[in-house]
Amino acid sequence: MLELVRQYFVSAIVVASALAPTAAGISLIYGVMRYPNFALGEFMTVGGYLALVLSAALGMPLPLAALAAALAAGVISLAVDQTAFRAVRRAGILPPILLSLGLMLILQNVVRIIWGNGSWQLNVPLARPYQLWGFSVTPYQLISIVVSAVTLGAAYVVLMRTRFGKAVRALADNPDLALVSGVEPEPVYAGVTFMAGFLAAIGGVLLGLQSVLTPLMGWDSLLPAFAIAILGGLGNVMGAGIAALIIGLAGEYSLLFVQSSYKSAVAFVVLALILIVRPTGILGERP
Amino acid sequence: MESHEDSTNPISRRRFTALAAAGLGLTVTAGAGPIAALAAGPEIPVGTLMPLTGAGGLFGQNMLKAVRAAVGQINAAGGPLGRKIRLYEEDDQTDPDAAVRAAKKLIEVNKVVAVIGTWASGVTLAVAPVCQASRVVEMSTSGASKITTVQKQGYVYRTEPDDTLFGRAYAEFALERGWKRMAVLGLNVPFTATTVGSFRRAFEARGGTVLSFDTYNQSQTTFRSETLKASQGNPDCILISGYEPDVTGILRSAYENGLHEKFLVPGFSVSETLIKNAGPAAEGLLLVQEGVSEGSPSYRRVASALGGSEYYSFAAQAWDQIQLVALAIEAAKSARGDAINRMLRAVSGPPGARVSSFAEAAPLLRRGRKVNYEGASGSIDFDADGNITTANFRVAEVRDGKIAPVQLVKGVHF
Repeated sequence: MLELVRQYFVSAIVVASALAPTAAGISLIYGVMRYPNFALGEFMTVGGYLALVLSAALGMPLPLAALAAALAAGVISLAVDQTAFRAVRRAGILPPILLSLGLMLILQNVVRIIWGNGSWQLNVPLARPYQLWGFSVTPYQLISIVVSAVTLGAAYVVLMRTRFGKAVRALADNPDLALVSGVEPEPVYAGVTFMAGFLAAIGGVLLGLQSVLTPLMGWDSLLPAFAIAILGGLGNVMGAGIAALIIGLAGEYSLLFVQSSYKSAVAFVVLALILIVRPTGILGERP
Repeated sequence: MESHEDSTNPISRRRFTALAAAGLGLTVTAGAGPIAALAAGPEIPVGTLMPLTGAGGLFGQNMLKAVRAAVGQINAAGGPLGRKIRLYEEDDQTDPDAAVRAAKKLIEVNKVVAVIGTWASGVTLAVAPVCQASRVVEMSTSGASKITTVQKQGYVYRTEPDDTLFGRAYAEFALERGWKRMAVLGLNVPFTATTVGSFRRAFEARGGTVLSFDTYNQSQTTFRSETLKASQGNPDCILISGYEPDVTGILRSAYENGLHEKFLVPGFSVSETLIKNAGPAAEGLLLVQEGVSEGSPSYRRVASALGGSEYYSFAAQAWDQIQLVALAIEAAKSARGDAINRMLRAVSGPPGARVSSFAEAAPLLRRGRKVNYEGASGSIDFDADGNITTANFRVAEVRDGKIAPVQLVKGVHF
């Protein structure tokens, strides 16, 4: 039992590392542009499959392939934003939601058409675990945790230390005030959509390292990623990281008491309980 | 005489079709008598509805090849009622919607008297009511227990063991191995409840203990914690009731956790893709496959028609399905769907002379004798619900990336 308690902790961090980047992307888009983007799960899928193609078919080393896949996903995200989403900027919350749902279906089916319904595996050798302070962990689990932390950290630095980040935060906090203060919104929107696509794709590659690539991987991750984004406080990247850990821990430790198929339900109960105490999420702004 | 008949077949077919069209249908009844070797009527349209693409694609291709070869042999032996079987082939794409469209086309346009070869349970459940409404016989290789409910209404049969029988086969094999302690991981879908329930009853009734049974969802990020939990208490083996993607994930997670447990899985979850994706984690994996009647004359014919290098469990079933349809037509002296439905059970099981092909059975049936078809996939005796009463299974193991046979589990029944 004690051994399980110890090992489930590692599972929780691994799960959190794969979901946190996408949750951060959802959080960013909602924080700045005020709509939930349901297509971000599919950017995970696209990221995972692009990394597969670049590494397996074109022979790129996987880290480079992952970076290139994330950049490409960012560009796709940006391109769709500048064409479809830009047209409905002032139309309220419903049109962008519907657009994101449509985009979700399109991306999912494009992946099906190109790669089929079967499952694929990123070309990483399976490894037996190391023992690290009594935790057993494989090299790729460690890599996943580190990459996720570094990516979120980098996003945090961009938001806190750059002019662009300042503009993002200004628009998120108070759009009217930001506009009269001379913040140009369109470049900020563009930057944010690029970042969200990039982050989700990194999440997709990390998820691919832990399991198999399937056309449904993004769809399957969408709800937990949303739960994490809401729990962390919409618009807050670091909050997404912490919330991912909480949801991960709640899900894995629930295995001590209930069947694995209730994992996500338990995570949502924890989400609901925390929101009762902190309605805007852990690190969300007080209304 | 038969080869002569074959060489003139196109002409006589056209002539007899013309005669029948002219209303001289009397030749049909005459043909069923002693001079049956003569083509005695229009061709009998039979539809194949198999997954040539999609998840079942690999299986469907071989099934179709087997049926074509079987029809070749049936027609060479004169065909049922002295008429040739004409195949209409459709691809169900392993997709219920596409399957229903194709089934309607087969029934309404091609006027088929039977639809054979549906593979996925979802496809069979979707197509069955369409066939029942038109009084067309439907035969599947699907395992879901829910199908029995549909079959109770007639016209629908399957050559695949029910999920319950799979559960018994797992228990049988585990006990034969001397395993007393098993852990179970199951994908949270209906077939898991049926299979694991039946495994548990059979295993525990004979002294086995199920240490843990956890159900999981397909949308898991990792199976790290689940595999650790299942390995608690050192089970002799862990049974996974799942599909390919989740079984792959579980095997990989177990390997990455440093576990050395044995795993037992259903044969339909294992493919080349799984063996490639799970790599070293798939080594030693035990799989329980729907069996064939190894060494039987029927299976030898299937294997030689398909090249003989693989294990043709679904193709053997498809082979048996078309043989049974041909036998039922001959026995019923009619190629109507309702007549076939009435005779299928009788020709599949006892009493009657044991036969392994249409060629062997046809002379007996024409003399009014009863036959009991012993097929390539097994004995194939349909019960009142259209299920096979006993099933054979084969246990195989993944060794050096190849599926190698281990042992047979024979005569598992309801």
